[in-house]
Amino acid sequence: MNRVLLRFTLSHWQSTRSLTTAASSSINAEEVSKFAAASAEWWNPHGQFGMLHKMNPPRTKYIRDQVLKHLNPTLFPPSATPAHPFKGLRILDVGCGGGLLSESLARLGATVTGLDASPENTAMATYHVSLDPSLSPPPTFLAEPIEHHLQNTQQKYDVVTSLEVIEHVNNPATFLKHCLQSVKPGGVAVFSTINRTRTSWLLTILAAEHVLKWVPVGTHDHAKYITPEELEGFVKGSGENVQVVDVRGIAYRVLENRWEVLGSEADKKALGNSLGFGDLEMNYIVTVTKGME
Amino acid sequence: MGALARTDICIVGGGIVGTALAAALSTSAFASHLKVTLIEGGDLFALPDERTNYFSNRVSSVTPESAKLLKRIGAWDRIPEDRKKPFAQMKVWDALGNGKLAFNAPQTHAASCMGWIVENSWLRKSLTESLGSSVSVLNKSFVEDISSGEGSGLEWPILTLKDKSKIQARLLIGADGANSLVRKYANIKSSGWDYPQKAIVATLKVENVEGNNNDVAYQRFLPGGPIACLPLSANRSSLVWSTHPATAAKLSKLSTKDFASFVDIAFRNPVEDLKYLTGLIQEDGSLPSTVNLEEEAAWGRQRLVEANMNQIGAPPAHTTMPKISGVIETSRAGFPLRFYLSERYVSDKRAALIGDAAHTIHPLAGQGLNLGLLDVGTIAKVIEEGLQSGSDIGNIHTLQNYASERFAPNLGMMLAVDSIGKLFRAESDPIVWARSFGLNMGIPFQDSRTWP
Repeated sequence: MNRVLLRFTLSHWQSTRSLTTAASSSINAEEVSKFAAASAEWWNPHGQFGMLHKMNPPRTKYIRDQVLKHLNPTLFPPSATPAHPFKGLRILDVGCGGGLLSESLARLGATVTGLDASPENTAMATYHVSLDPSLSPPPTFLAEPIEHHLQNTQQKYDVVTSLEVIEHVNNPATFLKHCLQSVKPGGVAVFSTINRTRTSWLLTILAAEHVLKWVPVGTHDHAKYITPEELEGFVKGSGENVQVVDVRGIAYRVLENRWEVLGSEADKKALGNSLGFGDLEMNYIVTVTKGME
Repeated sequence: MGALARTDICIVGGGIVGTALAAALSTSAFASHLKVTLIEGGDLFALPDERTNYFSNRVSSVTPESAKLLKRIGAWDRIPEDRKKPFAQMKVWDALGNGKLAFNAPQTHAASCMGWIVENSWLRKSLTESLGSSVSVLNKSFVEDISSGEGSGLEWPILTLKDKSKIQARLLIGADGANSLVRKYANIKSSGWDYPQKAIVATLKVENVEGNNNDVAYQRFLPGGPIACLPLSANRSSLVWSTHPATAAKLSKLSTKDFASFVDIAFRNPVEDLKYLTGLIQEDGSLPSTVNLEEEAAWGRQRLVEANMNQIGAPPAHTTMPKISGVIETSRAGFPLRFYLSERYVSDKRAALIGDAAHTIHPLAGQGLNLGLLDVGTIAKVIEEGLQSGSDIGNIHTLQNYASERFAPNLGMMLAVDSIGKLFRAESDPIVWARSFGLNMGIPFQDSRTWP
């Protein structure tokens, strides 16, 4: 049972991030200082998002590896190097929050656009990228939903990411469809979310909300959690020329205090057999590719 | 107010460990795009003395693992063959009991080598030659102050140099030794003690070496501390003798010729001889004219051989050791011995400590440099992994991976070395008996260092 507890979910961090005030797109000094304070919390390594900070490197590494493996070679710009493998790639990060993943993708060389429904989040993310002079070009953050972005810009991306977001949207099938429509032919999309299982109910709702009181009661809606089969169904039903090429569980190793995207079959077997269920019981991450034509 | 330059990684301290990290980063496919600034207070480019069969008195024992790292960086092959002396065996014995132990290089090891003795000056030269173009060296530069970048618009540490120029770094590495300024900036406590010992180093002339090749390292545990003889060439070896400060003061006043005799006596004679003869050294370092060191030494050795044959039916361990026939003029020097440990290796002020800044140990097992190079290998790997996952490499979560990998093993080695040292300084019978037993069984050593 310990191993189950180790693999704790992170989705509740997502829902604690909205602020109460609205922001205009032209940022004034007062707003900046406010965002600076909020950003300090978002980006405080020991704060409430600390676990998300720890989860981010393995997720980014996973995206890196999957993109290098599955992105159609014709989409790779010649400017890519081992240090900046994403140089020249355009990436859309849907539901970017404070910009944690967007910044990491930008450090790998990508030109990143981050979308978030909350203008507070995008303003915080914009403020934070200004703190790192090496983010060049810095990610651009836009406070608009994916469907508006798709309509307004008609822009297609080499890579689209949306991590720990689907379980918070009203219509996941439509949401996924819009994300996949934003992917160029030959491109890659990566999604992560929480499976709807007894384990995830125990850990994210009973434990995190009611017992440990890490997050307010009502943060999660277990009914909205999505199983890998449902996710694959949404992908297939999107009408796009896409297919799921990789599904992995994400586990938290409590003794080593680090997250890990599960890799080998051996890992899956070890966890699956010892606990009586597979490694997709909690958080999982999925790679989708789009055909060329 | 000087100009403010920005860099990705600023390494304070251009010793072997700091220079090795700069070289490792600048030769990595994943990290060579990072701007690295290496600041050294002394002269990073000081050249070694290249005279044939002349050796500096500051040497290091390099383990095969460290050699592997140096090879990867490109430094190892730059050291001439006659400046890296391999040793195939290490003989360790106890002056008071009958314990002795021989380590051999494992047969499976292709080079059949336990390690190499290399002058620090050559390690440093080979490393500076390996620095890639991403490294800017600030030679003979002193760091006056380090402050957090708060208020500068960028919360990266700012270093102020003596010439008032300023450098702001995403990640600050303290490779600045036992009195690390980076450690003070990072607010990391260091605790430990100075050993009641001083180390005397010198370059020795040796004769009658085993197997004609001088490829054995010797270490004898005396009550005052260990004395080690490490091969440098067919007829030169390096001395590291740890002893009471008062004894060290007396020994350092001896003439070169008498000092050579004392080193030979320290390795070969009964402990009582060494004590008695040390007691005869005058204030000015001379010996009474009535004392003939050669004769005293020969007589004492004869007694030791007889006693050993009577007790255990075997000659004492020293009989295979080369004769110390002289000491190179001006090669004698002394330094204090310390055991210091930083309570953390990393801080959320974008700083990490490596080498002696993180841990200072007794040179007993020759592990100080090797621990430092293990730090280099690990932090370079952690930085590379951080870059591959798009992390901010100055962030505490990235640095924590370095600390969690190195802190416990370093502490383990430090405590093992310290307890071996304490064990062998004891003179009470039960402890002497126990350690002789342990030494013969290989007990205290098997766990404390692992040979590949």
